[in-house]
Amino acid sequence: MFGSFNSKATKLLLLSCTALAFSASGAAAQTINYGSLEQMFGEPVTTSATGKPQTVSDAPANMIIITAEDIRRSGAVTIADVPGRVLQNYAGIDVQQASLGSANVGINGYDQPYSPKLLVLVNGRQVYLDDYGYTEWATIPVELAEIRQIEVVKGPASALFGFNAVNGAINIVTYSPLYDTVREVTAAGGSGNYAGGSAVLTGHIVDDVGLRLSTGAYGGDEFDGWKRSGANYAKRPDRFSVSADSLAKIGAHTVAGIELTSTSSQQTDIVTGNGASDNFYRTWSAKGSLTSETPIGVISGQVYHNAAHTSVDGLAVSGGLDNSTTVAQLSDLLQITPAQTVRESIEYRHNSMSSEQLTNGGTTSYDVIADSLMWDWQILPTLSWTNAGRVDHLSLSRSGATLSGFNRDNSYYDHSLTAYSYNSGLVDKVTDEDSVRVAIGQAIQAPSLLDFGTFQEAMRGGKTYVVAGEASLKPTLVKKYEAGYTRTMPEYGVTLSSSVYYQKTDEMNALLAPYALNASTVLTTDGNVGSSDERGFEASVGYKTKSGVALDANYTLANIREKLNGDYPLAEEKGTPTNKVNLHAGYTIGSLELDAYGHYVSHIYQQTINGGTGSTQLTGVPGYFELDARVAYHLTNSVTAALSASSIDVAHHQEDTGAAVDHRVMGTIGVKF
Amino acid sequence: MPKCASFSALSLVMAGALCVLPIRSSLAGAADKDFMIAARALTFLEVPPKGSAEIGIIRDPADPASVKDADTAKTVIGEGLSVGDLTVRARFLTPSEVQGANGLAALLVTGGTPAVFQEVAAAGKSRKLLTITTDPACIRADLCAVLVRSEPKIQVLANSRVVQQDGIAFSQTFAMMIKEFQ
Repeated sequence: MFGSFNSKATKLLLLSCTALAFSASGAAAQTINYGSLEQMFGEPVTTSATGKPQTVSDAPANMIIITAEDIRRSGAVTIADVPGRVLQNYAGIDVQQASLGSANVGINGYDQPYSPKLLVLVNGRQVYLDDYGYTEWATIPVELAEIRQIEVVKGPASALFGFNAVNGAINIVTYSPLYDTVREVTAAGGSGNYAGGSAVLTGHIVDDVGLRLSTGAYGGDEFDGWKRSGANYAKRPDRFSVSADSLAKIGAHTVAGIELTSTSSQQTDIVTGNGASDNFYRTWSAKGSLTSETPIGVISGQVYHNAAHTSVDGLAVSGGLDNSTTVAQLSDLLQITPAQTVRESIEYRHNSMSSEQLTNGGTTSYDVIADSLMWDWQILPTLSWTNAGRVDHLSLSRSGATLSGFNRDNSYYDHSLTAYSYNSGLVDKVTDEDSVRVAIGQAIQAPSLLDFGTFQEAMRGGKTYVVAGEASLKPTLVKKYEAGYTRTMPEYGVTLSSSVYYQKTDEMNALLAPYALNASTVLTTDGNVGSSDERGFEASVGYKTKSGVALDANYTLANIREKLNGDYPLAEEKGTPTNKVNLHAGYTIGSLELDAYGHYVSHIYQQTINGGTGSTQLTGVPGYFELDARVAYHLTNSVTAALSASSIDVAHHQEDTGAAVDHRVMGTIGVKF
Repeated sequence: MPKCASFSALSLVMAGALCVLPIRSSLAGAADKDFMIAARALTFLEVPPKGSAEIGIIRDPADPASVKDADTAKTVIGEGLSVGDLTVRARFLTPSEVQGANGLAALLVTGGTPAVFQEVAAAGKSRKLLTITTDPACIRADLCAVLVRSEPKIQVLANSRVVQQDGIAFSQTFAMMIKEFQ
């Protein structure tokens, strides 16, 4: 809008010729002055819905923005608490926690151990681990005090974010080292011999160069249920994280950035098949970014490398996996007319994983080249239409030793696939208070590197079970149709929102029936086994007064039906709770903050593995009600003391087939300076 | 009625839609928040003023509503309103003073007669000043560049023709968040 290029044709030509790329919430998003825009427009600003900056009420997607205040008042102390203490409070989000520091998160159902359908990013850099294809929240190198907001996009979003934003995407946006000031130290201690702390510091090295440093650590006893289970679990889960993020203004229109992070953590994971494993993770990442406002649009580029080492010690599996992901993204976001914005993007991704197990370092890898285009049209001041499409081409390969006696050499893995994803959303602000949203989207869930063929072994019943994957697996396709309605009544402090959706999942991946490779080895490969349909509804109501009262309630209904090609023990149909209710009551009086959160989740069934025979079965998990609470007092303008408790209504409750979640109490002291 | 000559079909649709929007009359008195938004808009110019900037507020002694709104704006801005790194100050101008006023970063007109809007528009065009209004009539008449509203929710609407003719450029990020008036 209002740039110096007047010819639309020239703009379009330049845009096409540059063929630049954009990953929705990538470098550009990080350099946006969120705080300034939020003050201007009176509500949170996001780039996660379309890639262009917009207020959340303009977003053509079912999305939530969780603010720093929401996080603080939830009682969460570290990033590992975010699933159970923060995300669980919202409609359409499923959380299963079974150990200290580890939880699985799903959106609109399909939650499971190592949940692969949710992409999680920090400032546009994926923190999703590609080995098994999931997010280990404790490995995210972020402290809560540095989070500006958590953006949750519910529904297929891979046209914008790429592979694995299947049922949704979560982008954690931190305070900017360039525009924001955060200086905070927090110490925490509580039941279960818990002790931890964090520090976040921002500052300007020189006028136009900002730096944000953060570090955090905790350690605590594992939930009591694990001690009685006989499983191999982490006795004292812990986490350490350190991060440095720097942004520099280069001239009036360009910002460059460098980010370095490292984490280590140990926790009890519920692994695929609902066995327990004492897992140790070490991750590091490096990222460089550059964003510039030019006559041909906002051009953004970022390159990052993620490395993760996972040591697995459970299910008689012993060994490590090394996964590295290198991503290069380039984009151009251009307002071609005052009412129309387009974004063209390309992305290159190299992803590889090696196993320390029986193949002695065999490496599976793939390269992805992707191109995407987004077009946003403000048809009327009250009506907008956004379309996005993306094509991904993946080339798979394998090197190193293969499994002896298994009739597949490395050439078997020379495989490629091309997949398409898209989103289209229409938002009509019928009145100042009412808006209607209609959206359709298709997303791709790429098989994980393990699914494709990085061999992993387990010992059961005196035999070696090998998960061998399948190179010719097709990606899982998820298509969703959704209609939503939101009404805001600021004069009463009330917000209502609801949505109804239908979601179809095709080419679901699953482990096939094991077969004997020889007398001592049983082999399992992967296959595309069928489809599922989901019908769902969610409704939320919020009430907030200037006198400090906040009340929230939401309800989620989800119904999944599987249509499998054979007798496979998938638990998508019964693994999603049909009913969920979340309640929140908060009150602020002077320096005192009081909050209580209630969650009801109906019963589910999960796939479990019989440790003796290796066969699978469905195991029931009863429905539960959980009550959490937090009380905080601002001792001074800069010092806050808080006490929070989880599961205060019952001593234990079970969220999956792992051990029950303990009742825990935590005290924190936060000092801002 | 909006001025519709030479509009594209899309512009006509958009202008028509805006006509049916429930827009608050300037005579009702501009809210304090409107002036805060107007001040903040300065920080989103492509080349924003640094340090401090002055907004010229039109105060027409012949129009009681204008006097009231201008006084409210002056109260909000006070001796200097801090917006990020920028301190915004206010200077009252009568319509006849607009053309001769120098050293301003923007003009703010809350309401008035077409003649007043014409004075503002002329100054905006000749001196490349951002012209902000809380009165839809000014932007509808292609005389003001930006309309700000704070109730029932914050909206920033721009008339791209005026913006272009006045040589105003916003940061691209901000420009993408503004709703186009026409």
